[in-house]
Amino acid sequence: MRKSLVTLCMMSIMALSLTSCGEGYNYKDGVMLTVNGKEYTTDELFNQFGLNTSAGVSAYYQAVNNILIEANIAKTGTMDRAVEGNIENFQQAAENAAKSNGTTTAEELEKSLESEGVDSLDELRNKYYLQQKTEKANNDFYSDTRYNEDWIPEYIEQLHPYHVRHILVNVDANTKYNGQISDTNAKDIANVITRLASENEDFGTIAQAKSGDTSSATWFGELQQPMSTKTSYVNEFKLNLYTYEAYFNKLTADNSNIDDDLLAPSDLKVYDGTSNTTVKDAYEDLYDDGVYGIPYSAALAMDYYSEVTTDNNGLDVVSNNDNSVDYYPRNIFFNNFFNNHALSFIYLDEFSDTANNDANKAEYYSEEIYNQVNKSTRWQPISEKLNANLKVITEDTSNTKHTSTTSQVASSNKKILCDENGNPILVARAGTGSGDSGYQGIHFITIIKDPYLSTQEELNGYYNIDKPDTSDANWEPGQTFIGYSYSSNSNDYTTKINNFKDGSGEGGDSSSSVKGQLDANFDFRLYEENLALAEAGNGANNITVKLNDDVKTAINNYIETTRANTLLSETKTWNDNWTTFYEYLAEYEIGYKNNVLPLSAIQAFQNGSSAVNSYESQRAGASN
Amino acid sequence: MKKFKAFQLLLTLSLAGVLTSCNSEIINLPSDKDDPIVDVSNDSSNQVNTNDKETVYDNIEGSIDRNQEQLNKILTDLADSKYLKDEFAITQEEIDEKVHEKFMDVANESTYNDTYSRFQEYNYALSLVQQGYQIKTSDGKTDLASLQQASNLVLVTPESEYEDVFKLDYSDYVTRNLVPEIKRQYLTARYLYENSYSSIGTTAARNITFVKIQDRDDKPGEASKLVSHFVSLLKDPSVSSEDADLRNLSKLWKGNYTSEETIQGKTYDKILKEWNVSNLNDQLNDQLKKIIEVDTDGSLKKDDNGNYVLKDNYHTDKDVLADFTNSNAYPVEKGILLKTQELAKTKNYYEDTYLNSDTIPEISDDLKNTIFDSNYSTNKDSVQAINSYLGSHSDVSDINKAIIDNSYVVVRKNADNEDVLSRYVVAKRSQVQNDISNYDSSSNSYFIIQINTIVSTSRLAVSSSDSEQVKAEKRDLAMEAAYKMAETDSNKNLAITWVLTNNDIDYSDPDFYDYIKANYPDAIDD
Repeated sequence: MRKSLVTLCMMSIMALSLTSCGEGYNYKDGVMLTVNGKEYTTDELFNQFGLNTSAGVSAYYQAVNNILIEANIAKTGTMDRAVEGNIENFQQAAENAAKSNGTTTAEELEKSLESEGVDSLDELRNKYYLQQKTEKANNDFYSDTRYNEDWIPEYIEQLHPYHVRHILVNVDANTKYNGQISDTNAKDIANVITRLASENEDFGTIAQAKSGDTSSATWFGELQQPMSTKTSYVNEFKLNLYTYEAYFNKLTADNSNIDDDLLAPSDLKVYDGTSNTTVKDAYEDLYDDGVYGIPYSAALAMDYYSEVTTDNNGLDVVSNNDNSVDYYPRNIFFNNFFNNHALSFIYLDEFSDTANNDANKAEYYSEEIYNQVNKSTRWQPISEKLNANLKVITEDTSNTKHTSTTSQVASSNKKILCDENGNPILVARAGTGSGDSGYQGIHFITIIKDPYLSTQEELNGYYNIDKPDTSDANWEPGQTFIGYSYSSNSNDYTTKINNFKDGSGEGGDSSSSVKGQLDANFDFRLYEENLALAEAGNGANNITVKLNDDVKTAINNYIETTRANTLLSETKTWNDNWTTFYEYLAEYEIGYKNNVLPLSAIQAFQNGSSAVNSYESQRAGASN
Repeated sequence: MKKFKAFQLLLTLSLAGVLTSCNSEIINLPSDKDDPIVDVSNDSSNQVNTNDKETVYDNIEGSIDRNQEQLNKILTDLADSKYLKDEFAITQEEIDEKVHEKFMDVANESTYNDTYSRFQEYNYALSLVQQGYQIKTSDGKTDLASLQQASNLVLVTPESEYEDVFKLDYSDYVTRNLVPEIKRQYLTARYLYENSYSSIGTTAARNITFVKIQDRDDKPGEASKLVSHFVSLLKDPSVSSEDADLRNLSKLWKGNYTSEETIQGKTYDKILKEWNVSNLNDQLNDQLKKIIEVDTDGSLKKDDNGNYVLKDNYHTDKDVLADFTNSNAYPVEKGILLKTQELAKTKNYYEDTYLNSDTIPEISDDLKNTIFDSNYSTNKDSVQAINSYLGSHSDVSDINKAIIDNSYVVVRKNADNEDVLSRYVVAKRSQVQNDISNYDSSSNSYFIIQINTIVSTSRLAVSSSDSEQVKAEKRDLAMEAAYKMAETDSNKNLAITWVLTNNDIDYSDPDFYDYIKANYPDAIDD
């Protein structure tokens, strides 16, 4: 009887375990379900996500990466203490939770372990060790030493960083040809140029006082990150500087590497339906007749005319075409000389030069003023500095419509404006928005450190991220990028170093940093280094790791494809920037002729409404 | 006593064993989950603790919906083995057509376009390579440099064909991704065919071809002129089906034809001149004449450098100039090119199957109602049916044209000299009899709509007297409409439930079972 009872019970239990022990399913190891007799196994399902899928290869990459870190990085006493401390805290948390939830510690532990994705405290311990090792691996890989020895030199070699400073004069003007600026804008332009031209102040002092870019103004105009080929500055700033280097800087224009490094790629075509012309060639053609010059007297004129808004009789000028504000003298000078998005240089014109043929010129620019200004050492001969002639926008006297054209400036004995170190000051108008905001305005730029005028070794030293020891009597500012300026607050240097390295300092941006710019997929390098170490057994634990060929190839392809995608995106940005900039300047070369009011319009304005209307009629081609 | 206690212990342990194997949290992982991922040697201090494939599988689990993937696999397998066979088998031609449609959908988006709206095939191919698909050149190369070299960079227009756009070999992607997706949609269509046949008829599906000719704002009446002339051509039964193709009307209006193309032996230019029609291409030129000087021969003036001579500020149209230069951002030459491209990419010709419940792009509700008017008698769907109808009706005398119900029917010859039937929607209101141009005031556009196939309950009703050919035609018609119906989630879910219910399924994985129960509860017996 008892035997029968036992047997009966056992058979019942067996039946129970073989049939649906959960509601609706019969658990079978390795099988998800059976359909019409065909088993659908877990093996088959996961085979679909093998190395020929992004989910699969990405999963293998993550797993292999972790194995390499475990293999290569040794456990340390610090890690041991940190891990055990974390385990203790984990257990304590479970105990506390048990008390407040009215459950048991074991239950809370199980829940917590599950949320950590592990089954036991030993597995959790392994997970914590992996975290510690990963942190160490990253710290070692991204150490200051590695930056100084490896990443920064590569960044210099690949991305050609420029250390620059600038003064930004914000302006209100919001169109390409007939910009209208305020009297304050006009005075600011005049003030900056006249101060740059005198020997009383250096570039940095003026930047500090007058630059509209307040963050760099604090640092005497110095931009706190180098400008590399991957820095996303506006085209007028960045590509004009590259234009200067490639074509006009006497010291670098013959450097054969610059074209490939800094200019539009030789296979990038102008999209004009025929695609026979390259952007590079078309862009170069824009400067066939020289680079734009801004006569010094134009700056004086800006000040002289800054508040003139009525005619000589003090009357408002009314134009039938509702464009009398375009005739304000300050606007006319602005559009002729300062509203140009192409590269310009300020040159010292003589009081008799016709580039500025304003009838009132003698009122603000006499021989005496010229002689005085000419004494300043800020003016350096064009022949020594530039590989180019200058050109200016002047009135086209071949017709009576008061259109504009360009004329060559007799440059052979002219001088251009430089900073106190003899570096030419590049001028470019950026933006066309209204309001004094952001980058919109006129940039006065000088190069502090030119990558093409120093050796790699010199540049490595210049961009070294060791913190300056300002207490050292032998230390002086200007020797390195980090220590270019003096600060009594050493945190300023820490911030600059961190921002330069990886953008992790206050107000930093990783996309402007060495790490962010050198390689958008930097972690792949760490993986590759770790793999090489582990395959050779040269990690700290002397453990050897060998991947099978399929896994290795799949991960390599995954890395290669990701890098290729990044390269596509970066190349597109580079090409688009050059194309957009070329097109903008190409349009200007055609558009300015009909659109820019020549200087003779000033006289018309000063003579009143009737004169302006007559001028307008002439421009419209009506006989008068 | 001891024996009883032993029995109790045995019972308890056995029950515990049963309960353990019923843990609903057991997740099936592959059988090799404990296998190592890599070979590790010299690890006496047990530094490496994550070297098992379970880690990889956990990672994969985090990035896929395994249950959805498994269900898809089952559906695709059943589609192949059971539901899409014999008379319901899909031909390779049908598969290719659907595959090419999907590729062209991608090409017509802007995701992979360059700054000039040209489709960059390499960028698309690279995105697929990143997803793990093997993409090849036509000669079998898979390296990225070869793919980039062999790939296409092309402006995709509505007239573009798959072969014009895609130059690489996508067979791995097609086989692993697109074909299963298409088969699952056909499976849903099959479900509807089997279980909801009458609902297919009530969709009143129509396969239609139509052209939208939107009139010029600056020169109203040109569209009306063109459409009126083309309608005359359409109504003429002596005009071949090739010449009467509505694509020709689209090209005439857009101006994107070649000098070799002809209609009734005349070039498009000649036709437009004869009809005195000024099309969208002319509109572009008219716009340009507002900003560019015109030479004595009427052409746009260029200087010695080949640049257009722009009008001065006082004679130009500033708004048009701003439009063509993007407010002075680029030269007008680029603007012209972009506008020409934009015109080429303009879609005004459509061909698709639409259900009564669908919104038809570009077409107003009023016009849509006209299309789906149910009064299309069943006995006028073929040339034979028309001839039979005409034989018994005296109201139409000409054997080659007839106005029947709400459509205008023309029988014409194709290139093989076979009779083909063209059926056009007739406007509900018109000033002339049987006007087949439909005007929509809301879009200021004229539509010519050709009905290719009509689905209705009566058309799909199978009769015992139907020949095998007629049965096959009805089946194809029903499946075409059902395939369209199969796009909706509700129909997909019904189909899945039907498949799961009507096959012998034994669930083993508790997680998968719970997934089915949650998403397709009717498939689970309670």
